[in-house]
Amino acid sequence: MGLTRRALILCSGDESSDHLIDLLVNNGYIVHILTNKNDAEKYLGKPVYIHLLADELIGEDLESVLGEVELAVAMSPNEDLNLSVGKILRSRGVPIVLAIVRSSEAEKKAESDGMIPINVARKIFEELVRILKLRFTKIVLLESPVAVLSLHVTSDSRLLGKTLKEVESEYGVGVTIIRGGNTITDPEQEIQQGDMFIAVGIIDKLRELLVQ
Amino acid sequence: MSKREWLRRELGTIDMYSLVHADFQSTFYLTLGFIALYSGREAFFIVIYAVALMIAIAIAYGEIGSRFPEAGGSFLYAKHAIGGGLGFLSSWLLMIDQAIMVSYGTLDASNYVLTYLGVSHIPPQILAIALSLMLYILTLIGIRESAKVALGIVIIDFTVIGALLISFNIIAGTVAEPPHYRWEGVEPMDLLVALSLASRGFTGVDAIGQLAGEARKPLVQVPRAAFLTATIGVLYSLPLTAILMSRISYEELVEEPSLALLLIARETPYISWFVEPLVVLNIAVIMLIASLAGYISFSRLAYILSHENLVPEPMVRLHPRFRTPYISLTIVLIISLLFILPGEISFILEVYAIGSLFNYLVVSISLLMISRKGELYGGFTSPRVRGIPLTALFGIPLTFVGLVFNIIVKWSFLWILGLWLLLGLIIYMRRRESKGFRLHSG
Repeated sequence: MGLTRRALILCSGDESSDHLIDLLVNNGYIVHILTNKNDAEKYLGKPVYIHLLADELIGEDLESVLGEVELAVAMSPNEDLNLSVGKILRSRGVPIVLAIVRSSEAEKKAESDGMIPINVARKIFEELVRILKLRFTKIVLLESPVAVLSLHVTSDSRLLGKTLKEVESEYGVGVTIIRGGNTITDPEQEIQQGDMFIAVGIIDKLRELLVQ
Repeated sequence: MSKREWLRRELGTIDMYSLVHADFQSTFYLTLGFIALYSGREAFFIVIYAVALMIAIAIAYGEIGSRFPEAGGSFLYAKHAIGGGLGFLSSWLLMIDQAIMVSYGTLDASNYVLTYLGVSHIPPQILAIALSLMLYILTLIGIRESAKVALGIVIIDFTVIGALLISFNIIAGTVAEPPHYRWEGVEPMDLLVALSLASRGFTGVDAIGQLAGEARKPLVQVPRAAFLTATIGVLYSLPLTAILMSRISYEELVEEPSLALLLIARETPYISWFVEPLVVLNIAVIMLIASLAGYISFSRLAYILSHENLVPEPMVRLHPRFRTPYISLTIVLIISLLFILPGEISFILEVYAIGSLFNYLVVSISLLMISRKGELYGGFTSPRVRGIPLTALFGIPLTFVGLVFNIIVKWSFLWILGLWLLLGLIIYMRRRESKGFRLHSG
């Protein structure tokens, strides 16, 4: 295997592929584009290999360099195609395969096939929550029974006016808040509307904190 | 994770053409007189054969090169189509041509200048070494800088050979009737030798493929540069042959076949006094820039072979500031000095371009195989005849015949290539063994 760093993009047919190509090329990657004949011409102005999708998806030429591909991004609008190509790439030993998906079901399938799914619907949702500061809670299990809770503090939250120390002693969790981009850990600080509230602790205690 | 190193993408179509022009044209300037010497009245037909071969090679490079965005040229093409072993073999053979090009280009430029100036007390080797060092520094500093210098030389060449020598002779109405012009009664001396020389008359186009890794838009710029090369090759070679056969008598040519262009300059009506020194200067700088192309091609081939672990690792290293393959460039410098020092490289020149022809044959075959797979999309696709690209259809038989001509004529000198191949084979086997060892030892 050579020293060349290769990346593969199952193209999206829009300018997001262009941006990704530029990013990778400017970082020294040799980029291979996998696309159909209709979209192939769009990439002639880029310093990339253009592989046409074969009946078996991955053609012989692309197959011969897969051993050198260290990153693949399946970003076509076709979710099933992303999953199929991603699965083949993982089975051929490509270490990092990112797959764009739109449903939870596809997200699970991608994960089970060894890919890193990027759920577009979820990303849109998260972005909306961030921009509009909507009520949002999320509990992620770190290592059972320890989990992390994050939520946006809204005007109707029962946490409003409480200090970090009060919450910590009441539920036995560690608390921090992010306000205007700054991390606040002062135990005497009161929780305000717009804060991002983060707590780490036993998952049952976090759930209890949520329903209060 | 190993350290990432990559070449800068800074070249446009004209830059690429400029870097190839001198390598390409210099071979024809050097061989034109000898082709005419051996082919006599048939010289024009022999040059047409050379031009057909050149077009086939250039367009084949354009078509296959429009599918590969990285440095490596024929090595990559052969590796994809046939296998890494043949890719290494053909690239290794091409590399000796590039090293010879650096040596004979600088030595020839020195000879031209010193002879014309009547300087006999300075050995040409001294000037050639200085020139080779200068080119080494230039290629070390950067490809863009090299391209700018090459573009300047292209403009000089267009002015002196294109505008003054060719156009002036045509406008002056001194060109006789084709195809024999004024050599009607001149019997060919040895057509096989002439065909062998003609097959090697336009080597150098391969550098376009090497530059793909430094082109901004290789998939469209490589075919454009190849088309430009073919077009200008035709526009130069056929008129120069016609003018030579019209203005210069065969007896005059026999005296100094290596100075065919200078002979034309001496016989150019009205402006010979003016154009003669310019032609000397022009040929000297063209030889120099051909050497520059030799530096670039050799170092880029070594770079890609090192990338593939086929030659020692240091050859892939890039200069931290200039991002050029400085170890590979230093190796070219050392080889060139070894060839320059004896001051006589005609022996090595006997095998010049045979490796290139083999390489071109491999490229045409690779094009055929890659096209039949149909997976790699490119910026230029030639018409197909029963699924076979027209470029490969012409390229394969023409390059094969050219190679056969040279093997027949240069049979007794092929041991030189054999030695070079043996060295390559030893390196290749050792690298394979060391790779195997690494695999087993984890």
